[in-house]
Amino acid sequence: MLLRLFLTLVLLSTPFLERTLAEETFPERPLKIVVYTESGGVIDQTARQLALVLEKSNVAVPVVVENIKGGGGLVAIEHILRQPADGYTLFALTSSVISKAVASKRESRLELLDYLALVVDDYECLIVHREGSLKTFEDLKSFVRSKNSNSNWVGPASGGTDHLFAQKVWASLGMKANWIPYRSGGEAIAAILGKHGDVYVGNPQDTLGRPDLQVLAVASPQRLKGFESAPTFAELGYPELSGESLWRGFALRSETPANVRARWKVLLEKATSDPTWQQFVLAGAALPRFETDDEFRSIVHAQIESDKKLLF
Amino acid sequence: MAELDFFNGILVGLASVAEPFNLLMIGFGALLGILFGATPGLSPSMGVALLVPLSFGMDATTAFFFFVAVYQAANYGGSITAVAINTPGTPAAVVTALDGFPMTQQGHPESSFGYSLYASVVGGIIGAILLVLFAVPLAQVGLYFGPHEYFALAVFGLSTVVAFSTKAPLKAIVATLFGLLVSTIGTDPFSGLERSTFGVIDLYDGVSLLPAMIGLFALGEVFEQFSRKSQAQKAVVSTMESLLPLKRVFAFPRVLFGSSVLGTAIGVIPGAGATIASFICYGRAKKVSRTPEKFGDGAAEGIIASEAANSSSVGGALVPLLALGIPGSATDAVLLGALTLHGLTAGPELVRQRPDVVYGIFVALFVANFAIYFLGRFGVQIWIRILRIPQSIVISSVFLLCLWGSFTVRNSVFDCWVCLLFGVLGYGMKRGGYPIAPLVLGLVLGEMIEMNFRRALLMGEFSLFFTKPLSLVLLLLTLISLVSPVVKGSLRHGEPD
Repeated sequence: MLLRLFLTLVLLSTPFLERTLAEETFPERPLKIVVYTESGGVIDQTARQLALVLEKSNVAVPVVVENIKGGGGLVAIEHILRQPADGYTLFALTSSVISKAVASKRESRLELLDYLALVVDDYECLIVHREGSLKTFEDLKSFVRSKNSNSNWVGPASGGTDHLFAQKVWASLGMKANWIPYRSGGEAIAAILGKHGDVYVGNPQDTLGRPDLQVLAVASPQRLKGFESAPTFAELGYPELSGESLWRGFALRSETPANVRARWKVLLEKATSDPTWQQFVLAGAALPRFETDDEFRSIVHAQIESDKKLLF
Repeated sequence: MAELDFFNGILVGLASVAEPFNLLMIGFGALLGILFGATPGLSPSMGVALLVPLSFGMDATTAFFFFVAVYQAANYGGSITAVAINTPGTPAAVVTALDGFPMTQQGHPESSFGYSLYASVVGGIIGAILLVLFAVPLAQVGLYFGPHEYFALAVFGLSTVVAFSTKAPLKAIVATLFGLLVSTIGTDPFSGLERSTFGVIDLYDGVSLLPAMIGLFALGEVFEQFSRKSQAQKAVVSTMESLLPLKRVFAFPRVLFGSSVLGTAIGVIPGAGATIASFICYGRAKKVSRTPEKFGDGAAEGIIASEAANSSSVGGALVPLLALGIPGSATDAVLLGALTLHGLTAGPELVRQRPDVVYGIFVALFVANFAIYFLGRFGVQIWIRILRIPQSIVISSVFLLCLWGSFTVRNSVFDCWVCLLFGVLGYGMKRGGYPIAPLVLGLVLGEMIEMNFRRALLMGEFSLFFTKPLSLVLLLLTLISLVSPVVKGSLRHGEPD
């Protein structure tokens, strides 16, 4: 009887033991983080910072960052989907990848990803030339009205997070403007510095080291440290624009085993609470955040629906 | 930290660069840059991007001296394979190949390698001098370029097609138009809609420029050699024993210094870059030359114009990066990110916070050019030996190198197919007597022309193209560039025999 009870207990605990063992042994070989931009971009920096923190104290294997650029993240998604679903390849993505997939009508590929953790909120904001006539958000409203839908808003390509945020701002203000797309944020900033455009839609970190630029309004819930003079959209009476961000997060292939996924979640939670990580995020005028599972999935799905409405 | 005056800043920079480890890293960066540049498929921006992770073990100053050396040297390195085997290592070296390769084929590799090395170094040093002396005012000039000016500059660049079309003007126009047409493939950044991608994700950003160019030039040449297999295959035998003396490059002062200054100025304009600088300076060199008919058949001035322009554009492109925090080129964009990874922010604040980095970069650029000179002189002995290898082995190796180089651009097999397709196209064009450079010119400038034209129309009236002074001047120069050969031709016809 005792023997039967013992065997039953052993059999019942096998999956748990397996899972625990897998959680403890993963990873056994080098991990790879796939980035959809060239080295040096914001998401590339984020992935490399994560690799450093993971290697420092969380895993005993090397963490390699691989840049698979092209198609605003679509090429990287296809690359991820071709890898084995063993958890050894992590995808570093931003909300911009979701927008690209929706804009190119490839959102079905997004369903094949498992959204592991959203780790950074980089809030959207409106930026102008400090020496221009626009000093406050009220100035901007009057200016846009006076230009009768012909003010020039600059930023990266159409259909991206910045362009869609501009559309939301116009909808909230009940007015229209021209969206002038550039190949990169850097070229669009040059257009503002050269006074060829009126407003740049981007993120607060775009103004770091560029004293000629000024943030007029930011979508963060509270005023950001280092940008205390920039009011939030909520303060300005546009709560619907609050919380809009170019988030950064990590995903796996959807068929990744649950135990490996659970291990990743623990690793990411530990890494993102590391002071080095927190300092890195804050230095870029962004805010650390940690959303996983249903929360992250619902953020992605809400964005897909919202983007579809704006784009089509 | 209080802002340093210029003289003290340079002293701080000198002290920083003079540290033995920093000097060593500049030399190592120059060596790696030359090798990266000489590898088809590895552009300067990709070379620097690959080395960003390596820099984590260095402090910020050492890392940036290293990167600047790689950046400058890669622009020279691109000319090596262009001159040796008609395989441009970088997009800008396409123009160098036009005269460099024929000169090598004529049995003068010491001259073709010599001219490209010396012009690169002189151009690089002039670019560095202009960066050091005029960074702030030059950056403001760069910002003056709006969509109207960019459009006019690109159209002016396109007008240099006349420089490649002496023998068959109609065919050159057809090639240019085809290049422009290919440049429309990809996502339209204004509407977000895909154009001629046929649902292929690899075409979402358009046809990858490097594999296309490698195919057009190198594979086209390989196919040409294959088709002539019945003919005796001979290795290039040089007619000289030692490298061309340095003073020979100074025999063309107008082209050398003019291209260096113009190349720097074009480099300052964010997004214009080394390739456009090379094309424009080549066109200008042909115009001012006393022997324009030699261009395309191994003219020293052609090599000098291209190399001086693309090397000097490095100093120019660093102007907006250091003065404004705006990337002046694709490589600058990688450098900007790398600065952030090292906890620094590019822009006017950087010179106050870290004068050792900014002034150090100024000094490092000079040191890098000297390193390129010595490494280049040593390297030429090796490149010339490679030319002595039998052609059959060289051709097979080039074929593999082309496919490997195309693959490395994005780790994509699709790009190998692009390379092969453009290789067949390049071969067909050669057979049909169509010049290849105008096609590349159309490919390079197509996006710039279209995007800026549309931006300009969205931002204001059409008449602004003619009322904005710089735009007007550039459009007038375009007109002169297009009309002058016709006028010269009719005057020549009118002359008594």
